[in-house]
Amino acid sequence: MPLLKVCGLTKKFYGITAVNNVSFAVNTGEIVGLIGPNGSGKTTLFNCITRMLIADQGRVLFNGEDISNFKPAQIAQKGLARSFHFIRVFIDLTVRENILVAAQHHQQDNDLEQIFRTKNSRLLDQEILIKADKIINFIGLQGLTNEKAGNLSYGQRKLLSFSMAIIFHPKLVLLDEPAAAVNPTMIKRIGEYIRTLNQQGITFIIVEHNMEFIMGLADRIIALDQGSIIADGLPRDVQHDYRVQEAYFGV
Amino acid sequence: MKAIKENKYSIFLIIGVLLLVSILPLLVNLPFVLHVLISTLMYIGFALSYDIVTGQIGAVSLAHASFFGLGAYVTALIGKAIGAPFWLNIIIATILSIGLAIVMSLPAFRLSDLSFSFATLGLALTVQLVVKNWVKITRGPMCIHNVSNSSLWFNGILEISRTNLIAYFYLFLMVDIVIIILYRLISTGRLGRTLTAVRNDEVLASSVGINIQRYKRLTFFISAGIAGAIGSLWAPYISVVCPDYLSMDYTLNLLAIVFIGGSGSLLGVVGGSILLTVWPELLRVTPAFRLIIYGLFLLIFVTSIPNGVKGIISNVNKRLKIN
Repeated sequence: MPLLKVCGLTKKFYGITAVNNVSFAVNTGEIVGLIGPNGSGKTTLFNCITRMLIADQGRVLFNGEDISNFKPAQIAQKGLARSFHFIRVFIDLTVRENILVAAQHHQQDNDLEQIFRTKNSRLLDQEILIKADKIINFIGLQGLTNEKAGNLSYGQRKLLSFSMAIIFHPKLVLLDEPAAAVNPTMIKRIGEYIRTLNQQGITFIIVEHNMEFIMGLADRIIALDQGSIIADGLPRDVQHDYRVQEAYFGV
Repeated sequence: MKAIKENKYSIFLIIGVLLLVSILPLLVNLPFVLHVLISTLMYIGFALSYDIVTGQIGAVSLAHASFFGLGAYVTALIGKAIGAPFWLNIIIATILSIGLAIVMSLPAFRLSDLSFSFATLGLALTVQLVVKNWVKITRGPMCIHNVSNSSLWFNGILEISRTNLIAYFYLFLMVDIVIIILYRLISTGRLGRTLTAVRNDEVLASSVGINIQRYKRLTFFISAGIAGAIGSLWAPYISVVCPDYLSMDYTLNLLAIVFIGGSGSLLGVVGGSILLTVWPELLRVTPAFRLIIYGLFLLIFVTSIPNGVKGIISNVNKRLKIN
């Protein structure tokens, strides 16, 4: 059973068909690269899968369950995380608090326990704090732990939003351009980290324009053009596909 | 001193100041001064309850006076009918206010941002109209006078009557301390982070698994409950309950307090309440120019200090940090 199965997904904005009858499946343990020229529907596809946008047609099955009618928060709780193309962070929260917020729906205590700080609730907070600090160290923001996320640079926000997507040990992560506007050393580290997490069993779908990065990382590439899948296969096969070359590399 | 520390210690600062204030009635036992103090304390609690929904989660409700008014009416009517002890009044008023909030939330929380505000405005006006026209029960515009005095006793030990302003003062002081602690517990820790997250970015919040609707409702109900409780205490003090209690005037006052003080900040809201309650009363020395001066003051304050009292405090903190 594939982890994610997208069947005939279509999304139209007035006259434009942003995603046109897209079907594909992703198996557990894969790293799938999603490429395509600007406006080819990659981000819209992500938005439809996570229900930030409501698709006009088609179904999405996650872990065998039809999530087409779920709310975005429920989908996240099922273990499908994502990062955003236009980087989003909680600007009034500190770097650490951002990560804590992203991890907290795992904590199984109710609101009253939280308000009155019961022992159980405090223990859960401790656990998650250690996890958060570990990931802050990894992305190299330890000097900014208590800085408001609103004061971070674009690249730093990107790293933060990447850690927010992976902190709650999701089954599947959709990353929207994790390598854009990040320095080469950090790109390498992100790549290595994605691979480590992948070995731990997390599946990835990554939208990326950095060809070197995505071709080296992905097991499989799906190429989109004008809302339709034009190629789906091993990185080098897709790279040499004439339609991809035409649409993407402009040859 | 970091901005974070301001938050950490502000609760002790405020409770300390309130305890200092608690000596005041023993020094100046003038009815007018006591009335101003009591109104200020009432507004501190009222504005904090409003800020839980408006400042913390960022849903600007315009129906907050409805809960206050409902609490006041419930207390007045119970007093007329059976004369229950004040703690029972508070409990009934709180429960009914939460009930009204639940009913209001059904349509209102299907909307967000400005549409939400307008929906709550419409609902608040509807509730006020019902109270105004349901003359059989509420006496409508004739108001309910002489709200039962005896409704304010506590197991017969501490009797609080309308003439005993000092007792009222301490009652509101205690209520405020409870509300401040509750506000602090809600606005910090994990719940506080969640509320800030929803306020900052609803899309991102839902993408990390936060059920936005649930937290919006939660804060709306808590804040309504507190407002009902305050209304229930205010009615016997002021002894007359009119449909005006549910009017926009109260909500506008709260909006001014929260946004001039600094929304989402304990010190800001308390500072704003003191500023906007004491200042208009002080201006009573020149009755003719009172409202003109007050209006000018608001205008100057908003334009010259956009971040409110909260902004002044954090500026002072920054200076302290540099030196």
